[in-house]
Amino acid sequence: MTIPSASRSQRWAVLRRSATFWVGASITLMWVFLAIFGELIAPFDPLGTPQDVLNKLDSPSAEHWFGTDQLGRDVLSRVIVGARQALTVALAATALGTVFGTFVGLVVGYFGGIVDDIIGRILDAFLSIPLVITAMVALTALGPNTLGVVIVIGLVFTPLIAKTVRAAVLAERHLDYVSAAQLRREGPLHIMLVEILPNVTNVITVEFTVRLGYAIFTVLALSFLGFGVEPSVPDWGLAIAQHYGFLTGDIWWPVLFPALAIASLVVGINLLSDGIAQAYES
Amino acid sequence: MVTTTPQVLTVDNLGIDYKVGTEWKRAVRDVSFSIAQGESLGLVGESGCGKTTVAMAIMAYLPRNGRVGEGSIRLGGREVENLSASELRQMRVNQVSMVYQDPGKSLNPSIRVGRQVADVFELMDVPKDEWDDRVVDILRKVQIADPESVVRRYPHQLSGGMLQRVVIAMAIASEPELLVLDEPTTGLDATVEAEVLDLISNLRAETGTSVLFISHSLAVIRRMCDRVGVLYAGRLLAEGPAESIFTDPRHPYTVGLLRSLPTGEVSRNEAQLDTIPGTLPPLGAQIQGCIYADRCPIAEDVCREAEPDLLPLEGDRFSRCYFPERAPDLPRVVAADPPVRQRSEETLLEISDTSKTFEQEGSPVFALKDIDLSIKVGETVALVGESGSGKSTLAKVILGIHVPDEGGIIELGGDVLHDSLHSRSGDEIRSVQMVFQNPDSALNRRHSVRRIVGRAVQRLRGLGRKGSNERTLDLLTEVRMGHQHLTAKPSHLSGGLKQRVAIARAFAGSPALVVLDEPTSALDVSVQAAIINLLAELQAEENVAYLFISHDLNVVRYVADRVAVMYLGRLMEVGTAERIFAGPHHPYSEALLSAAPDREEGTRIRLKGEIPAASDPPPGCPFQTRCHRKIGEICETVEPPLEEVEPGYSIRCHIPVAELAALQQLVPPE
Repeated sequence: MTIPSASRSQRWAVLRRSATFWVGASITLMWVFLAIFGELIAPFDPLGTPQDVLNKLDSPSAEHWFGTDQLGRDVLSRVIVGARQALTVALAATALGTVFGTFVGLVVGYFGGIVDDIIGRILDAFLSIPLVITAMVALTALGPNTLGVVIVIGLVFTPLIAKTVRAAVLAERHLDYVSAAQLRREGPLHIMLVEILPNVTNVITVEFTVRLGYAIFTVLALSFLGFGVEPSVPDWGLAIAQHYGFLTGDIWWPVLFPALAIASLVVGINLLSDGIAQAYES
Repeated sequence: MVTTTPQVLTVDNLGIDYKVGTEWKRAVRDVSFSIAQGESLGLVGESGCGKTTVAMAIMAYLPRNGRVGEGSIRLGGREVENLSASELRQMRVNQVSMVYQDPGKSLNPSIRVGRQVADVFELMDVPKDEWDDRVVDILRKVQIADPESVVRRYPHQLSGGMLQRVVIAMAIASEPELLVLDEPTTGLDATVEAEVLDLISNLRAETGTSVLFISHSLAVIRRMCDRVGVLYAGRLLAEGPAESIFTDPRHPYTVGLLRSLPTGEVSRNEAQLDTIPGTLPPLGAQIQGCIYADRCPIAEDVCREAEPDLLPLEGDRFSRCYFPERAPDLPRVVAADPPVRQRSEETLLEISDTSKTFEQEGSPVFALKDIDLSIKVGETVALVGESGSGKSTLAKVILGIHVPDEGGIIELGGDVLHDSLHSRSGDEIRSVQMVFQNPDSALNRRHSVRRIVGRAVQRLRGLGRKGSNERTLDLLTEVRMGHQHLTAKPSHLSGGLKQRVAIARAFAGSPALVVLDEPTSALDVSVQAAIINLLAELQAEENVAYLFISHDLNVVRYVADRVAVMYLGRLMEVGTAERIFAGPHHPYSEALLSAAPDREEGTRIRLKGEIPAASDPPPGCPFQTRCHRKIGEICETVEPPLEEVEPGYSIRCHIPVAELAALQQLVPPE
């Protein structure tokens, strides 16, 4: 007998019981909440005021829980508001990469043959170049700005996502419902988008969440390296870049707290994606 | 069940659960049986009845989401559940072996066959220098003609039947007390199936191994087993000697199953098949009373109140029914009267001189050669032949999926049909449609029934959304479904309902010809009967012609008006169903017919060797390499033409029909 595969409600039941999912979802939702309402929650103005310079690099205290940075701005407030930069850029970049990657994956998987040979090799070539370096080169050419970061990361992710989607499409392509659609003479666009796409959304969802974790890391790595954000915008990567020199003077708080923020968000998203993947597999 | 011979396997009150989502659901309940030394017990039942689950539990191979929730399994006196990991390994090496359905999946594709068989001897602690000889010996024992060369090959270089022999060799190498065979011949061609079954019978006679034989095929179980247990929804409903279970069934379910099966004696023009109403209860359903009561035509109040025990009857049989004596007179569920058809002599489809050659690594593969076939309006033509015979290729050429070689002409209603899908007109597309073998693959899992059928209506009828809704509902009514199914996704439908949706889709544009590619082979017996009845009714209503591809000769005999037998891309014999089945037969058809598992033992014709590759067909008659009636050199040098020797009957053979008739009265030569 075949063991029945889980339906949507059963998948949800698995998700509901999954500690991995809940921990991941809680952390992620917390950061999403802070990204949206950060200014209302932050105890101080994250952009700082002219007087702040007087108490620069104060260690954590009852007033400034996370201490202050080199311009005397409240680290806690900048960490809270910094979630917005990380999440919006990463989300936009991942969404872009997923849309492009899905389309390329569908085309390559559906047409196969020579299309697969040619585009597949081009994708492989792109995959062999280290991600951050590609992005740096492209951003140097484009000039550092947020939109540029989104586009570049989106494009860099496209071949990765396309590969995964292609594999899923290949498994679908030989099922008879595709032949049935051809037998009523549906066009390739209809078959790809209306017939096949809904059957590979599982894969795309999981791929999206996994890539989102990577995207956050990449966005912050780029801003650490000085690509993508104007210096005044609260940004975790930038904050670390600006303060890691002070570590030797035992001034750890302006670096540690943004770093913890990055770690918790990336871990949270990864747990979330693990939970979702498990639910699809159960 | 008290017997004096020692029991090899005793299963007592077995209950098995599966975890679905987060809940444990009982899939098998209260199953008890035992197998004595040398005995063979068959477990038969439709999909979802739990037969494989029981086998897996016996091997202690249940998947991670399965568990033995209740009862005991004793193998050679030891409780399987209590064995340690090393004891379990010992048990699997020495006491019990299992053969799975798909031999291709039980062998490692990247290791030579000989090395894989030697693994068994390694596990048995046989000294290394004896392995080679013992491997060859055991392969010879399963009648592999050239074991020395087979050991050097990889699994993909062997045919399905050969692989199954290798797997059986591995299973019997340790001379186990119990051999568990899980659908060992499902998916094999009829002639190969017959050989494998013969092999198992012979080995059993030789070694006296006990066998647990699991199959959905009543005919196979009947042939292979001493005793039979009939499983339904995880319950054993009947148990007893194979002969009496099948000739004198005493449970309404067994009676229903047997009646659903086309036997080859009646055709669809004489009577409809009876079916079993309703569907299998869902996994883990809490049912008060008899599990079968909902589908049982003779159920009474008492059946719905308390579940009957497996009650003993005369002749060492058991039936889980309060009214076993009433079972044989079960009222029919479906009226016997067949739907009235109008027959026509008008030709619908005419295929002439059609060949199809594929290119494979630069060399040609002759998938179809010189096909001439016609189908009349409203007629059912069955296409019969083993895998690789070109049945599906022919269907795809007719459908326009494959373009035939230059020179081939296919006419539909007197007009030449464009050869590719792209060049066909809307009307041509609409007229020729297809029902696929496996509805799970043929229906888009993410689309609702409304969308699946509705889209076909829009495309094939050129209707708008509004008009298509109405027609969609009409079509569903025609396949005996209703608006309550409109929003359902395929996963919420049973196998039979799914196939009905697929049929409705094919009928969306009122086709003139529907290609049915093994439309019932993925379905259970009772569902198959309902689908066959439905197809017959639709044919009578719509006057549509069918090209019915099937390997089940009993089904073919029931549904077909005419039969075309294919071998290696050629038509070997074409004629009315009565003529083809009555004989005299083409030697290949003769062998095919004799391979059916319900044929009497001893009349089987054994074909030599295997189907030659289509890339390298033998010279002369394509069948000459395996033919048991070969007359000499002419067969090897000259390909006989397909000749119409009687009105409406054509045959491709050098032997005159009169001579074939004389030969086939005789016992077939060894």
